[in-house]
Amino acid sequence: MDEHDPLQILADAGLPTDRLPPQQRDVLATLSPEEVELILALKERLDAAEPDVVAHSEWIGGAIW
Amino acid sequence: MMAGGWLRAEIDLAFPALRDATARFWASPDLPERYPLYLAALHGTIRATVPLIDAALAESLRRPDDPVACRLAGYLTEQREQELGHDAWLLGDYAALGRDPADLLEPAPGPDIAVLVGAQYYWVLHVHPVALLGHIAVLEQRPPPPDVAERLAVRTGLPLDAFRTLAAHAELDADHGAALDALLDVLPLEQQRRSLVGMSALQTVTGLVALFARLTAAAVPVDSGTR
Repeated sequence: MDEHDPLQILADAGLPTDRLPPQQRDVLATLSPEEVELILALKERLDAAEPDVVAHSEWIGGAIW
Repeated sequence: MMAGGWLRAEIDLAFPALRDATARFWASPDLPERYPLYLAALHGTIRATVPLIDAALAESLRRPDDPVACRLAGYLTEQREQELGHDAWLLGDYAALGRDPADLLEPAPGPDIAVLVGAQYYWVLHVHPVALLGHIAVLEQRPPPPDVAERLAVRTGLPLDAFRTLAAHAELDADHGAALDALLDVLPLEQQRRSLVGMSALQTVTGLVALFARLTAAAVPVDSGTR
């Protein structure tokens, strides 16, 4: 029996999965438990994000290198 | 769905966390003093790029009956050629700050870099070399804007030559990202392998978030000799 429901888990954690495009939802519906766990760990950091910091550096995008 | 769409869709959900972490770093008021730390950290990762590709290529070639590994081997062979020497670019950037590149070669990179790169070695060597594609996707699918070097030089007052690695990646990564998207579209990946690639990508996002958080919070000398 497979009770793993990635979209429900992500939604329960506060991610707005209902507002995502259908194609992205289709992909997320297939995530493994490990992938969901990694996203949830990052979600905590997103909650602490300050939008003005990101906006201030909009010109550099997510530049890693 | 656009090319490479399934992996992009997955990364897109997590990418804002990395965007926030990098934005905090690049918005640092003491960026000129902090930038050498960035070069040191990036050198720690980039110097492992070709060896990591070599490991994945060797694992791919050990699987002649595996259609994923066969296609992957061709991609990695080309990717390896394009990644050669990038660690030397970083040493050049560091030297352009008036610093000794030997500073980057002697100390052992920290645990965050070992985790970032080391996770890939584990999955490549012990599961399947296709895992590396998730790592590459995060690093190369979203290049910085083309004028990133000029803008950083103006903003920091540091020499333009200290940003050559960033400038080169801004130019090269668009093509690299397209090549990866094309490969992902034709690789016959079963769900288990897709999950491996996705896990690799998300672990890379996680590792980079931790790395940039460390770079943003690290103490830097008031007079670090960068200007």
